Amino acid sequence: MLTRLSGARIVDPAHGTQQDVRDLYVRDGRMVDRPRDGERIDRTWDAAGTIVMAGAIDLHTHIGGGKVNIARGLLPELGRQHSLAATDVCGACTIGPAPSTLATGYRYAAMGYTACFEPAMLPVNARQAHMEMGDTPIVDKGAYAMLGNDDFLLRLLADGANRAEIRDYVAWTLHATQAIGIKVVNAGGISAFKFNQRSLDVDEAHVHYGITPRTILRELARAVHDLGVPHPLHVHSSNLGVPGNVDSTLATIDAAEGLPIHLTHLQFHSYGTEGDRKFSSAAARIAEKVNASPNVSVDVGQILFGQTVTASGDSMLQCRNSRHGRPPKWVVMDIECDAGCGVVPFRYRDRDFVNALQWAIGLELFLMIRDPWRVFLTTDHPNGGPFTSYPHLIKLLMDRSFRNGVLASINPEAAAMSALGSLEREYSLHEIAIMTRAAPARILGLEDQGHLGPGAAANIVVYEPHPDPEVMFATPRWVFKDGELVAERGEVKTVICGAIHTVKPDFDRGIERKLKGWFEQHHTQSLSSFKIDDEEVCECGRAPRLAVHACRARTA
Amino acid sequence: MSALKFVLRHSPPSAVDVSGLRPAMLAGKSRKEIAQLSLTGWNEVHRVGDLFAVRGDDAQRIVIDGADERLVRIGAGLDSGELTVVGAAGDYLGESMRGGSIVVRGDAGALIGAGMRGGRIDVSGNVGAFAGSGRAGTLQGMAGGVIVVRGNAGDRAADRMRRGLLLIEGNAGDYCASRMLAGTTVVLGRVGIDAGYLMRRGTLVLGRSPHELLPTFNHNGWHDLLAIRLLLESLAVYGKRFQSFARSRPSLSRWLGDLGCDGKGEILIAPGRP
Repeated sequence: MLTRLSGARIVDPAHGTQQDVRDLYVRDGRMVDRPRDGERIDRTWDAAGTIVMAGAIDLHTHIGGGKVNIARGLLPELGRQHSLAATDVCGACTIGPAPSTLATGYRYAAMGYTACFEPAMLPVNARQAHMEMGDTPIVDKGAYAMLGNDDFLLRLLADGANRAEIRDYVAWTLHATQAIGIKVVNAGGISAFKFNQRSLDVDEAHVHYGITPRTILRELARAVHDLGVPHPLHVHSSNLGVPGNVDSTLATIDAAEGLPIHLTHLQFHSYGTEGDRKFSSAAARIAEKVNASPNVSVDVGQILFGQTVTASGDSMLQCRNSRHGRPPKWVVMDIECDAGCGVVPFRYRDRDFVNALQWAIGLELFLMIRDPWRVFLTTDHPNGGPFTSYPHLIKLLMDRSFRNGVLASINPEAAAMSALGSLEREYSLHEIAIMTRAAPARILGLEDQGHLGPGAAANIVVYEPHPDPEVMFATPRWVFKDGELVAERGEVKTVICGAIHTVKPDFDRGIERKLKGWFEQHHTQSLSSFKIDDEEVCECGRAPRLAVHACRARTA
Repeated sequence: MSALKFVLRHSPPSAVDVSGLRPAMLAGKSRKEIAQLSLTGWNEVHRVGDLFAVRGDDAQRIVIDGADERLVRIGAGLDSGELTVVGAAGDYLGESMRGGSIVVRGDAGALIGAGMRGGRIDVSGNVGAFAGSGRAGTLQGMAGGVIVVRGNAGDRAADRMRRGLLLIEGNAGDYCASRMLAGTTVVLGRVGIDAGYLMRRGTLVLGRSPHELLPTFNHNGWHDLLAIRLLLESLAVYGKRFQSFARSRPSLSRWLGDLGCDGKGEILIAPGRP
């Protein structure tokens, strides 16, 4: 079956900066260059006058893995305010800050997203996470396994294990949990919290294991790099949300010692202590460092005003934040001594000094970090705001006068402390396409996503140009996933199941001997039932296929 | 004008939200228009006319006849008018209602009057769990109005109740008045275990002694306070059993708790066999 999409302006940054008007061809769910000689075109979509991009990729969005389920259970009243009845195509679902799995898939697809990555899958929760993601329709999924607060790794590091052993354990975790990357959340801090430490800076020692977050970060970044996993270590730095945490963030970048790392929801880690309220923007210092460190990529975690819920593995900091919860209820818990979990609902208010400044800091980072290949558009859904606000965020980036209008309406003290008003940069369509398509695909190692060249998955989003980018990005005319029309003008047309993306680096399986003893002595389940094999993950994740991406090991 | 009557033709395959059948939604509409309105079920949408035979024309007086427990949220959000249910009512009867009255000739399901702020609900039969409480996730339960249950109530009656009056002629289940914040609940019959569990403030009047009270309630003595007498006399308008309870002028044993939280609540127990 050959389909043609004719007459659209193609914005495809993976293949250069030109935006020419040309026809696209899709054969059996894949992009092809042109029809074979004499091949019949089965269907033509007239896309004259439209702008076409590849399907967007969200590389950091909490869509599974337990936390969101806890948020759903904690805040059912928010879902009830936005419930949608079943249609011929879709099941009944609820949207809002903690949308149901169905709504997550539908809304992402209707907005032109075709792949989403859950950033905080606890290895012990991996089965649940894959099931929850399996229940999220249409989009492709993948997850980063959380390490760095688990007893096994901390013991290895405390005992001075050699790098090969750590590397094997990291690789074993990727295999066992069917993950595409490794994330570290408040390195060592979640564990330290359980030993009664209430903060842990980059060079502070864990009272029990005696190691510092710096060691954990360096060794994990090295292991991920040596294994050749495409996505660098995904780092949620220490001291999230604490005024003055800019120093920890800069120390975290240094801890990587030049190895690739990805700093996530950087906005929450870019705070200074200047001014009367001892809370200020340190975006300029962070941006300067990121601009000068080509090994660093970031996503912003922009906050947007309104009700949302924060869900994080960082129980140390969520415990600290729990007093700010609105409505006043929260959950902070340990999960099988593997890591933690904290869910605190938040209502970000534009008249509030701190919230208004957080909003400005996020935008400062977007505008001050120069290379769109290294900064990604996220709200850390749902922590900074629900993903449904992405079109609004794109408008803030693309339209300076709109941005300054909002700036004039927020808490004036915060507005006065921010450099945002003086930043003239406006993102171009090309740059938006980089940060939402081409760059996330590249940094995750997804060879066939995020571009429209021959061989790519036929994930195509057809936008109608509109002077208001929010309107344009909120409701694309057509969204194709693997060549199939899944959404039209914001309405879901077909519900399909997306693939699961993983990596499977080579490693020495001898590590299982050591792991087996540890599981028997300390764990609540056996090693064999802990591991999820390919068949099981596809079944419980309802995935038609497992997309395993190549790793190029960097050591002998 | 005669009452607008909805006669259930057949039991729907799964629960259907019938909160649309209330005066504010139906006033000024013809029977034909009403029959075309849609009602949402879990995974299907029904036309009013498919589920019910529609008769009468006075949208201020609505009767749902032959109701069964699959009709949920009857009278939810009601703010005026009268609604009569003949048969069984499902869950969430009168949820978030602000005014008007609902009379059920039969039993009702769980969460009747959840989050209610005004108006009155009368149920001739039994009701399920969480009567006069709040919907899941909300921090406060019923915050105004009156609920009268002639039969028994299930567990957790008056959970998180904030204001208003919940009157139960029969028995109530376990954890009656749990997490109660304020307001008044009266149970003339027996209560199950742990009445007043995590009660912060409010008044729970029991017509019969419970088998056991939580250890976090302290005895405060026997009282024949004027305030209590006025309270009981004010209940006389809600039926003969409340009237005779008030006339018996019981001297009440007063317990304060739950000391597990604020401990400013009271349980007033009439003398009598457990």
